[in-house]
Amino acid sequence: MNGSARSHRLPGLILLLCSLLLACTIAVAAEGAGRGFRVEHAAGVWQDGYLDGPAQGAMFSGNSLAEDGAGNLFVMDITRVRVITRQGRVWTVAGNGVRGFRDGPADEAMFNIGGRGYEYCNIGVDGTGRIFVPDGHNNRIRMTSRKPDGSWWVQTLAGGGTKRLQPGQKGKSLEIYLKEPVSLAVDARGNVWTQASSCLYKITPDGETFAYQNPAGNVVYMQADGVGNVYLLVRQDWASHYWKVTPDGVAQRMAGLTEAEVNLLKKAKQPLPVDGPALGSTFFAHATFGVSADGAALYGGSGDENVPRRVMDGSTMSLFAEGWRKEENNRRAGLNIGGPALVARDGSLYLVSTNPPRFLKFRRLVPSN
Amino acid sequence: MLLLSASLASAAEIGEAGREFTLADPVSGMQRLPVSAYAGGVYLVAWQEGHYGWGPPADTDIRGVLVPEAGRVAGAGSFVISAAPDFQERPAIATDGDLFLVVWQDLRNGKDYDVYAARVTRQGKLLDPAGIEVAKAPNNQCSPAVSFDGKNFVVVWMDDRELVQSYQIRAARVSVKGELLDPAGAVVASFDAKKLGSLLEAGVFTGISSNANPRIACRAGECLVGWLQKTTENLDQPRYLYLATASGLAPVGKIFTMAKNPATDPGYGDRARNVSLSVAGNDKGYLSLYSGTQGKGNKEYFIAGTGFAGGDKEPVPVAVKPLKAGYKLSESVASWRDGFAAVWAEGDRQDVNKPVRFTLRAAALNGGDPVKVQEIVPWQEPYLGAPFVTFGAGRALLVYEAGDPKNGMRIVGRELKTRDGTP
Repeated sequence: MNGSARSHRLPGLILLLCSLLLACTIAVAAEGAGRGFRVEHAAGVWQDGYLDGPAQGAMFSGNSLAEDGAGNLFVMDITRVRVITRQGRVWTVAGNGVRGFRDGPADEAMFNIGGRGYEYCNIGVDGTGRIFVPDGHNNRIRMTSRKPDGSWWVQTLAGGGTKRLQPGQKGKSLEIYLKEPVSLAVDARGNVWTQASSCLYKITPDGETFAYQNPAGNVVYMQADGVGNVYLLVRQDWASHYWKVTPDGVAQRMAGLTEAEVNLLKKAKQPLPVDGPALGSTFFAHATFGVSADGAALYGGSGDENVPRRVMDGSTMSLFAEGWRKEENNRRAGLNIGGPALVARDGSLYLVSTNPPRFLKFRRLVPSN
Repeated sequence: MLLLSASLASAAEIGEAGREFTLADPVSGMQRLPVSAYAGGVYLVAWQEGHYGWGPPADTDIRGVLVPEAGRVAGAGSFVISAAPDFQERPAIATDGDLFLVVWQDLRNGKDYDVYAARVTRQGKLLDPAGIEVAKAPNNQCSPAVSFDGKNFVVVWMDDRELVQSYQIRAARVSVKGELLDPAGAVVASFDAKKLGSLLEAGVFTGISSNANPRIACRAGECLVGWLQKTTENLDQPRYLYLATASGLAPVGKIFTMAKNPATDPGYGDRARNVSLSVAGNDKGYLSLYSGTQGKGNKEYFIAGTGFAGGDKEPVPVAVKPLKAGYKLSESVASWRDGFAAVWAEGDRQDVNKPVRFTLRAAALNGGDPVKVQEIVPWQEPYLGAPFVTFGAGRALLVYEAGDPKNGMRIVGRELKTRDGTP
């Protein structure tokens, strides 16, 4: 990422500010209007609710997304883990539809997602198809996996204990206390990353958890690429910015404006740019978030500006020349994109049109990130 | 309360509930979503049972049991109503007074939902083991409900055979002989297809509606269909339409919304989320309950009611005690000859960081105010939900989901006594 400007080595307390604001100006016009994507409907209808079956007629209430690498999409649907299969059928994988806590057979399991004022979360799937859920109100990370007999099983991966780790400490995953996690990412090594309190946590496959100083702030979504990096979407009031944590522990802000930077621009009566240099220049409101497998492209934006955007090589570019925000009878229209996004292994971008949740696939038409 | 309240001014109350009893030990997994009907001295209770999951062993069936009187299950125990491949879910029941018709949504084709039905005698004999195909068109036909109009059974369901990502409500009659009388299904409610096409073409995604959760109650030659109309602005509002059923299925009058009294009616404001709806009918009229959330953050829960006198009469509001502090609820309404009763599940807190205790409450709704709300199942953990009450001869049967340590969820029952005004 050429646009990196501020970094932080983990673990540690020192925030290394580099201020390498590069004037990268990718030729936006090179991709033209439409930007090489065709939008397809993947699942959901014009109403919320709960109905499995064919994806085109299925009903959802939640909007998180993760992919298992085989083209199957997983959704944390408030109280249920559901899958949109590559063949276009929706199944309920886990959860009985009632808020609560219960491990065991997946269809009897209970989840209670949310926390810190949020009633949603983003989920992750590892290379073997195990599904990880930040179960905020239960103060746990839950894992749903398939048993040899084909049935699904839910268990607690981390949290539920009382040991409060400080940055630099480690502990047994099932003995630690995790306060209301709402986001997680699964990195290329199978580690599950989450954020709670003032720490980032790395939960390893062998049952240990490491705590690091959180360099960024209020992390609402996390993503990982396929080469070992973890990405954070940080929300400050109504300004969002993106961070990248490399495998060797360097954290760097890579796009977006902080609340303080937004306030400076507003005080100077400057506009809040949507496209242009990514770091410290372009503005993201209530942003969505997806990262390509090679880490070269980050997809965000939407929210108030309602235009999905791509951050690549230090520059932010709208995916649609005019945006999809339209007005009818003075009402807000458009796709109302929100929630976590997903860049599938085939390069397709999935976004969620919220209220009600409909899952949209931005199929790549030309070789591109 | 106008006409309806005057006609329903009997003085019934819900009495104490009997001891909880098990309807049937689970055979194939979790038991969910019980429904029941009463005919000639026996209740038929049906539910869905089985496992979810992605791929085998996921499979749910419709099972049933006869209950000659509350607290006692017929000796034969539970039996299969449909065990076709894949999922059979969300049953509903009606009776003509002699036999029962059970309807459900069915994924036996592995591709999309259809609506099936089967008749069951009062002796527990399944007359249609393969099921009657009530609605089997492209895409989904699902979430059915059923009632009896004095001559035929009338089934309503959600249907997306025609519109892009928008559900219609359709209806069809099934004779007591098991014949489907309206194979195409009459459209009860639909978003305008032409308008939908033009909006999508323009990339404008507001003002689109879809229809969900239909319910139906019938009297002689007439039915009231209720459903939730959902829009892309999250305005979920109850809608109602009378159907004349004496010869075919014909809409009567216009589509009504709930009784319009924004100053006092919960659920009416544009921040309200109405999430469930039920209807019941008797000689005097119809009553619909709807519940949901409203207010800041949609955290104020409520139950509200709307009454209908039948014919093509306008709806009138019916007082139901609003629920403001509960965490979760689901409701149903039942009728006897000249009264109605509501039952609902309620959690004791919205603070989901702590375990939630549940209770079931009930109220007799006779048009009077204030409504006396009674706790019929003590506060307890684990979960209680999906209550369904049916009035029989002098007694009522309450069935509901209860948390079960072994199977996650099971169906249990209680006798529900009434004071005065008993049927």
